[in-house]
Amino acid sequence: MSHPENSHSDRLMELLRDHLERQERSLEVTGLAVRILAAVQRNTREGSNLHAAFKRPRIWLVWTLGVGSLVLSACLLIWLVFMPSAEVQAEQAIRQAEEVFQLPLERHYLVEVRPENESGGEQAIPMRTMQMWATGDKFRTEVTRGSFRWVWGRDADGTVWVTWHPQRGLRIAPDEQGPALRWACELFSLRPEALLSHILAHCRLREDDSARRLHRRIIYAEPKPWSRQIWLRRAVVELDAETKAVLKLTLTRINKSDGSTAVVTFTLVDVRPVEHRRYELEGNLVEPFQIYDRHYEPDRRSKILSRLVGPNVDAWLLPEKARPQMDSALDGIAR
Amino acid sequence: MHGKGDLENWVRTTLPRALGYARAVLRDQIAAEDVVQDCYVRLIEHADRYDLLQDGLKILLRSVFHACLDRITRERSLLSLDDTPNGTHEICDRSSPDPPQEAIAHELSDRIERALGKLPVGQRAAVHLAALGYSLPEVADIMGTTHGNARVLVHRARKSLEAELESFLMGGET
Repeated sequence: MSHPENSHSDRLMELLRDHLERQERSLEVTGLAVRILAAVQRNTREGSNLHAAFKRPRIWLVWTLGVGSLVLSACLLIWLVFMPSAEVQAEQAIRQAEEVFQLPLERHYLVEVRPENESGGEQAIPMRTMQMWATGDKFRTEVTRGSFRWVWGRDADGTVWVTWHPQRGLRIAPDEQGPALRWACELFSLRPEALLSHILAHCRLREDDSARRLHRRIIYAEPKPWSRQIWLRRAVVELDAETKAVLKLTLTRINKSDGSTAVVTFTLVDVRPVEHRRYELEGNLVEPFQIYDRHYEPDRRSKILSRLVGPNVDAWLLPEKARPQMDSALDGIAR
Repeated sequence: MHGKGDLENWVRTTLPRALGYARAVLRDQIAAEDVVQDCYVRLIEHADRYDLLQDGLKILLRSVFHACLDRITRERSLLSLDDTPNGTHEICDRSSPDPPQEAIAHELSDRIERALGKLPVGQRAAVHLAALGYSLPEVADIMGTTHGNARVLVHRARKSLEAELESFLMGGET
């Protein structure tokens, strides 16, 4: 005869097993599987140690592909040279999109920053997807990690602020910002509206005609061969064919200081009237609040920042002694 | 593992278990997906060191558990660093039931979810594996703890769950 406690326990484990197995079956994992395999493949391309996972391609195949891509590139080059009208059309579309951006509105984007090399050293961006609101030179970004959420942004004068609590925030003045923070700011200050001008000035454009059937215009931009603006490797602009609004912008961005690259995707979510207070730290706090900065509890500010961005806090907030030297070294970072 | 097809199959087969486990420990779908993706990528990068078909799932679960713990520890230390004066905090506790759900939560699965959500992380992680048929030595191995500690964690989790789900265990409500 079984003890009632044991039978309870067995029944419990049975219920639990059924529940967990049902949950596993109901999980939608296709998208995640694709993302994982893509990440693995990306790493393979970058020469990671994945030989056990994938077979080596035969050498003749590599040669064939190499020669094939050279021929294709040559054809593409000829096509680009002899088809200026297509490029003019793409340029017109970008100019019209620029005009749409002149309206004094706040644009809400979903932003995905994907470092191309996950082990990108101290300047790797640890964030993946976030929401961003931008108007003029100001931006405000909301990051959610699990159940934890924080908001950070940049004032018009270049001060970076962070808040993770309705009554707490911190500020980092421009001369205190480390290379990783500057790199992150560069990524986010690349607002789509500012980028369109850059693309027009420095890139060769190519349009994907097949997208027009879907009332979209997709324009590929790559730096002109003689362009000295080497921070942008490529961009893809997706426009609404009718309104000329930018629906999506994907950039492959090069960090000049360490050569690492990141793919930044801006997807337009919403457009609405600007609420300027939301771009200042105080506009995101409720009184009474505390703001940590270089004058008020700077050590606590460092500790909090390290919890947000990881242990290598010096890459985000320069130690006092390093500030003047680092500043001059960083002056060359492309804007 | 011999080729790309094997790798894809392995990922697709093991993913529901790994993601389910990460979700159970973290109580957050997005965070779980992040953790699981990182763990797969790291593990596959070192695929030459393991026989993924043979031992991969267990190694993966071990990696997922520790990555989840790292994440929880990091979030907690941030919260404790910054004490809140009025006891109000914007950071939500996903394990707590929200009122509309509370009102309609008569189904067994909701009750189990809530009961699991109340368990400490270690107990939740241990009982999850035990319920899925992993032996105590396997639970201990995955969680990187001793056999004795794994037994205690599973035992305590069972007791708490029994108390929470008593009405169902007495029969009749299922």
